[in-house]
Amino acid sequence: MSEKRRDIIGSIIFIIFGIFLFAVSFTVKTIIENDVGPAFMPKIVAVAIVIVSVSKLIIALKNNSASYTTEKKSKDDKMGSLLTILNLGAYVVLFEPLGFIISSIVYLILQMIILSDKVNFKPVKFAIISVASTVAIYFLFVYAFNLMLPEGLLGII
Amino acid sequence: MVLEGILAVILSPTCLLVTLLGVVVGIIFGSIPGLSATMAVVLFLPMSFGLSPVDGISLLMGLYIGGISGGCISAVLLKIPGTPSSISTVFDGGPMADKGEAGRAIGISILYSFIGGILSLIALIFISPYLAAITLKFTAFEYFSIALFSLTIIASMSGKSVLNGLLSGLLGMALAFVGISPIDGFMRFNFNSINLLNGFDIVAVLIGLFAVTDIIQTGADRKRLFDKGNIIQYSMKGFGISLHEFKGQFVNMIRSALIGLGIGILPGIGGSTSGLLAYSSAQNASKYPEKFGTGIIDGVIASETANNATIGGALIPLLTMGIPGSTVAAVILGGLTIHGITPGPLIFVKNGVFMYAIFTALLVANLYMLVVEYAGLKWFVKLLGIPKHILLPIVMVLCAVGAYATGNNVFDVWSIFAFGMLGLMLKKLAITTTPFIIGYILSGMAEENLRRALIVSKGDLLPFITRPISALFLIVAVVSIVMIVIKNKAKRATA
Repeated sequence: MSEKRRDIIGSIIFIIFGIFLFAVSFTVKTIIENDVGPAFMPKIVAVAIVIVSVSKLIIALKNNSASYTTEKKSKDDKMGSLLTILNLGAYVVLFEPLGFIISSIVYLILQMIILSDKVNFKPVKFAIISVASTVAIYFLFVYAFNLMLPEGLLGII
Repeated sequence: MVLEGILAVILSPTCLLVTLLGVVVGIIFGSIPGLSATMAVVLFLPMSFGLSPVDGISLLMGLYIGGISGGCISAVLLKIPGTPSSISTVFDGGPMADKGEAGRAIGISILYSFIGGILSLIALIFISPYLAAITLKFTAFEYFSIALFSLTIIASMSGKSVLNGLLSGLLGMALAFVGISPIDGFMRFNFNSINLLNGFDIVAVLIGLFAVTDIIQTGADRKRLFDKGNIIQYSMKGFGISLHEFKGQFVNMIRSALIGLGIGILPGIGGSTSGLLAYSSAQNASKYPEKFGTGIIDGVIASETANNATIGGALIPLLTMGIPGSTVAAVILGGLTIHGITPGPLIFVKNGVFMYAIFTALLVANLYMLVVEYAGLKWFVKLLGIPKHILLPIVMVLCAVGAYATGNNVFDVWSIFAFGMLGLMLKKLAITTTPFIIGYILSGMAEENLRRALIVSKGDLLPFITRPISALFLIVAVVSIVMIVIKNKAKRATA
């Protein structure tokens, strides 16, 4: 993606968000007399977002310099980021239903596998570290800091 | 009040212990590239809730000092800054290590981190009561102008594009509107969700943007995760500086401390800029500027004195006006509010004991840092070898626990993922996240004071420019934007 296309996409996302914020602000009502009301500031911010992003769009469209328009190949490992995002998403969703201990152990093992290469791929070591660190964190927070963590499946037993 | 505050720290074994813990963990986070001082403070924020206010904030102060100071270890031994604040330490610290002076570079870094920290603490102690006394006279007009000033300064100073900085700040303000509005307590933008009644928890927002985004990015970077630098051998003998050299560096030290302090006071610019600025000023003022970058102590001293001096600087507007001077300060502001301490002009009146406890905690933390980082260097260096593919997932689990612990609510765990993705999107669009977080924090203050001011003036905008202090901040805000735009145009013209 070229920097130009990146800036155009970015401006459009922000323009849409600004308009959305402005529209939703009309559902907010003023209660106190003489007060500009709780919708005032959101509307100002919405208008400011639209003005700034439209300026950004115009500047991006006008700029046709070589370095700005050349397509740059991203160095990112797409598979690596996609798997990390999916694994993280699954972790936060299953955090409560499965409970802290089970969800964390599964997340840790999978994440370590995703991040490792062939040389460092050591599933047994990952499993041991995952279980040990999860249990250590659980006891530290629950017993030393008196915080609650979801028990999930382990709570039923 | 002064004595009470000092004794609250010194006579409490718990407080002394948690401060030590903070410094040690801070140095570890600061020294390992990929983990930052901000991350350390964010992760330990939920833990500080369980402690008493003095203990909790002392823990955060320890983490802050340790986190900024630890960066020099990897800056010298790996030639990779452990935290953005020590970027400029690499310039001369790296070449010093090549010359076989790694131990000396670290010794000097630790000593001058301490000096920078202490000088800025002295400034904090002497400036903040006066500033608090002045800010007592501030009304809603001044507060709104200051909030606006802070937001524009951050937007113009951070990153290459002013427009991107502004968008980031505005987005932060917009997301802070969710939940109960100030003054009238009206429920807005919650889309009938119970989870959004109080808006997004600041801790979840911070963890998402500053930790989860980085972890997602390591997924995209996984092949480069294993190109770690070789740890250079070192030997330590004292702090590596003679009395004669110390005298020779005195001016450099004072100048760098003042630069760090100034950058710290200005909102949102942070440690990395102050280090770089002090480094280039030292080079400009030097009789031998050509030697900079070849491994001379001047560069290391400038960088490390300045980045630690930023800490005290950042705390001045934070404690007296409630305006965070850096991202870490923003996190600490969250911590203060949760402990029921409202930073602002009345802080010396309402929480006087607490203020002197903070000063004492900072002093204790600086002393710990000096001793622990010097004596424990061997162990900190060992930790640099922990593989990232094991360390980062564990940090992620700690993030989830931290988010959950803030309100015993799984919604906060979902939020860190959502804000992590938002951070990723902003990074892809080349938009920096620092203005976002400052916007998020200052949004409430800006709105409340604007509305209060307009109620008082019956809708008249004129007082904003007829009141001198308010006008001054608005003028500086406009000037800062204009200056950056002109500077960028000049850059483009020469490019």
